Amino acid sequence: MGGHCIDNYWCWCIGGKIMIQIAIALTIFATFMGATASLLLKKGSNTFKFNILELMKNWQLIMGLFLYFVGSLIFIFALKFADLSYLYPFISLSYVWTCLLSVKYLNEKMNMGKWVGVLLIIAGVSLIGFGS
Amino acid sequence: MGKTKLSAIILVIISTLFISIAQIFYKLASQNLVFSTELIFNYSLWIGLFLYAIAALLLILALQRGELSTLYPMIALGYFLVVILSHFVFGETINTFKWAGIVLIIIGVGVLGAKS
Repeated sequence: MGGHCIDNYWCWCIGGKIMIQIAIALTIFATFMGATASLLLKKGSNTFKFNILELMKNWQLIMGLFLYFVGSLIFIFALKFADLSYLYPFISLSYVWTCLLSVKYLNEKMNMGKWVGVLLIIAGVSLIGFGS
Repeated sequence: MGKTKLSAIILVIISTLFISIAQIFYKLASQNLVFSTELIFNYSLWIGLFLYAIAALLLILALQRGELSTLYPMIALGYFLVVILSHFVFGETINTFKWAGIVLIIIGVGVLGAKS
């Protein structure tokens, strides 16, 4: 269902059976990186100025963009082992991590509605995961 | 709700479209992804990343013109779009679980945006 290996070498290396699990694990790891990147971009936006020298000194902004790039590469690597229509919904987990990180590091407040949204996303992702 | 301009809605729709098409390029990039200097010549990867960057800019412009709670549910439609595109471009199969999961995710992202 979700599994569709397009790379014989890698699939042979990790074995066909755990292929999807590896792809899911990599995708979830990529969403962690994406959420951390968002947090850094938010922090970097506080001192954001349209000035090359200032931008080069804004390490939070640079780290955020770098994490986005690496996260994308990890997701693309995961796409070797599973369908795009199967893995892409898992990207929505980054909303969940972003909420948790915002509460912990930006002192933002969660309300009942936001938790309902988070739970619906988790339920949706789980459904797709169990469906394979 | 009335504070969101039509231009903001159009910008968000184009942004979502770009993000969805970027995923198609990511999938194409994965087919010859190697972690060496050959990465530079993986054009699908760079097209995907470029589309992503443009989409991010369009989203920022849209958010300047409209409310997050109205625009967020539209971004979530990207999940639907990617599944449709993967079906037509790569012939991927879509089962009931996928559809049900995607509907839940879209509602979830919509609720999250509306309550922000």
